[in-house]
Amino acid sequence: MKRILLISFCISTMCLQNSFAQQIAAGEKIYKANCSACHSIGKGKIVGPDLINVTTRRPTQWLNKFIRSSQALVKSGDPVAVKLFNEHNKIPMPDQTLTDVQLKDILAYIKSKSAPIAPAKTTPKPTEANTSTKPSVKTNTNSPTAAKEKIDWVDAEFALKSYPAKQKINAKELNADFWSTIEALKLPVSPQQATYPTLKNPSVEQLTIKSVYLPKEVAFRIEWNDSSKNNEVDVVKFCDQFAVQFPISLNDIPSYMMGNKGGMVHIVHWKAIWQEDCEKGFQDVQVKYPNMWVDVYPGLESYLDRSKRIYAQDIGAELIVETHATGNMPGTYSNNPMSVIKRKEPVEEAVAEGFGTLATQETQQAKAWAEWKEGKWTLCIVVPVNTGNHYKASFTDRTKVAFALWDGGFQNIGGRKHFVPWIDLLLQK
Amino acid sequence: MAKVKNWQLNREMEYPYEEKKPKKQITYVFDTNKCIACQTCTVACKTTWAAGKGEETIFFNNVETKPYGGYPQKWDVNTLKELNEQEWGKGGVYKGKTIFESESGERVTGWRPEERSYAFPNIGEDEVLGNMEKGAFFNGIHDIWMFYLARICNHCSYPGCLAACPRKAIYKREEDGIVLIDQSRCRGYKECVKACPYKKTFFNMVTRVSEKCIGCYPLIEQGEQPRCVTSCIGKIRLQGFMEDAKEPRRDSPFDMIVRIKKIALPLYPQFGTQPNVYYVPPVHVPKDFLIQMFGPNVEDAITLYRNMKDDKELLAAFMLFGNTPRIIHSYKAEENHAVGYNEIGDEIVRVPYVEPVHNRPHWDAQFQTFRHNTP
Repeated sequence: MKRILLISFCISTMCLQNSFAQQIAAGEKIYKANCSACHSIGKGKIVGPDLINVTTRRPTQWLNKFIRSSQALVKSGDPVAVKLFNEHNKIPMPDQTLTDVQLKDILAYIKSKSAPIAPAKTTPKPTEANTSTKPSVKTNTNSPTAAKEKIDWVDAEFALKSYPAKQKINAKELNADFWSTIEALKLPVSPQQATYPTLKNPSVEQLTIKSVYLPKEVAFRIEWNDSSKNNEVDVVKFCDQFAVQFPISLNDIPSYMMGNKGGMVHIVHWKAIWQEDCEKGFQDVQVKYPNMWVDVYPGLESYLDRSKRIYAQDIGAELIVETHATGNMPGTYSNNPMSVIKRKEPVEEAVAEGFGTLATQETQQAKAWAEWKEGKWTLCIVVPVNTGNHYKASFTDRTKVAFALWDGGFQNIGGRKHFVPWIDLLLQK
Repeated sequence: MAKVKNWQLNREMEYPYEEKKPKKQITYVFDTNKCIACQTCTVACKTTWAAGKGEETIFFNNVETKPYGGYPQKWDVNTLKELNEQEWGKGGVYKGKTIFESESGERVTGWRPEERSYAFPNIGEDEVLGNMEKGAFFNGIHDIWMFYLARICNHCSYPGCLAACPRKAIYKREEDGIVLIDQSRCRGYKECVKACPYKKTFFNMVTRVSEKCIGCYPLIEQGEQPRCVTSCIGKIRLQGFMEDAKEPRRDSPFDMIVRIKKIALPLYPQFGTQPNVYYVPPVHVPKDFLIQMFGPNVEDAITLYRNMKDDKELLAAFMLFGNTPRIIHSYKAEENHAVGYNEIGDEIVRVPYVEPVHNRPHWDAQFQTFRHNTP
């Protein structure tokens, strides 16, 4: 009898453990989709506070209320909620519509991540985590990433299939025949409201995307509706832009909002003003304002020639850069990557590890080209991957990818943007 | 948002970053009563710092005629509109909202200029309020008024530009409180152009990043006052430092003028940035207009200014304006002279309260010629 009891006890414990693991796995999925952009567990503040040990810091009931509607709690005058809100620059945490079970799952996941040493049994394996109806992604055991089998891969809501390219990918051939054979994915985009400055009103709803790849390149062909082509430089004009983002390492997926400290992302950023530069030459002052007059640009007097009717306003920025007379062009003089006068590609490769940390990469290999026609942008971006450069994405058969989109006509700039959080990029055989 | 102390509002206010005072704060005093809008400061600044390609419409320094002038056009009216009607309470406590406290859903409430806002640097120049009626003559009271307002970056203690920059590309120097845009870090988001209530950050369309007044820091570092100050024909300006963490010093011309006598006042203190350029308000302009522009202490400042000749200590501080390119750290009101000293206490300027008068005979025997009556 005693033995039977013992056995039954063991079985029930095992069952408990199993359900707990499932709970954590489910929680992780929800957490990564809804919380990880703004919160870390044990890695410090991102936009919101670090959630390590939050389940012991605050009562569960309070946490549930706060997660569902932090603003309702703040408005009710709850002192802790008000304090948190004030401490975090009054950036409201968006309301989460979650079921009681989902809340429990999230808290279980946070609790498991907060534990000093997580028991091995409760750590969810990638396959366990996959509770969705979608087929799980089989990793190629022969690939170099096989050694990193421990990666906590969680399926994203959307998956983009990338197909092997049969030829060299030329970004300028936006309508090359092969693109018509590639399956397209429609992705909804959302306005960025996690950090200041925010985009209050979205103007773009979705984008259509296709992808092909070569061993060291992934190409995307993106289309989105934009009623106006915005490619001019001015104090009140903003340009249309698009960016593709990859995690640099798959071991710990960084925040989809430009990464986080320790979680670096590889960003490839296209701008319509750069497209204009590449198509028609630099948008210089005398190009934009043909009737302008300038008496003199100091240091450039020797280029003036009244007999040939060459006046100060005729001296282009390109000549100034060529003659290294950039002392009166502080951005150019400081080698600011924004101040490049002779641009070769309408795209820039950058790295980031959190808001406001975007930095231009030393090696620029990405290529892009775009066309605006009848209220629609079509853009092709070719991203270098697996180059051995550790500031650039490397992966074998799958990775995450996120997108950002700026509508210049609606004053989108910087954080005032539309975004698509991590989706799966699956390289097809 | 952190709570910071804004002494110009006599209360705490919200700011995105914690209070952090520089070792000393660059400070300017401008006497609007002496400005003739000759624009020598504007030209000195423009030729020194903003003469390059892409800087055509950038004026770190400008002089505008109030009430109609402004560069960019209507900068102040538009920012005031964004904030809407606000109120000063009793005892000089500001009861209204600052640009950091408004409920616009932005970190900093600001007005974004338009392309044409930069098209007319001289708009409203020398225009007065209203027309002279036929047959009117000057009878000792100005019915119709205008005045010149010289403007530079205020190197604010709580800069709006710095608060709005999502990249932290704008910083306030610890050594002297000068606010700078890192030219290699800025990515031209133009958030600062919108956020600065004084519109003293500018977007350069060639370098595609923003620029602003640098307080002539290479001169400051050598103990000299900025170009706009030393070039001033009317001697309306004085630049030095204040340390508002400490008790005001009677031997500091800035503490004397700004903190002890309160004769020079901040420009639109209600914006909440705690600007560090202080203005002696024009004595002839209607009080309502001046209170909106310089805060509630305007009347006292004007009374004091009118009676300055009887206050030697204050007069001596004003005598130092425009008489040395060196930065004055302390001063003394002597019997007949105002004396200015540098950081280590060496005398650098000595100005008589009354210019000496020399009477010379009409006939110059040495050169065998008649002297003309020119100074």
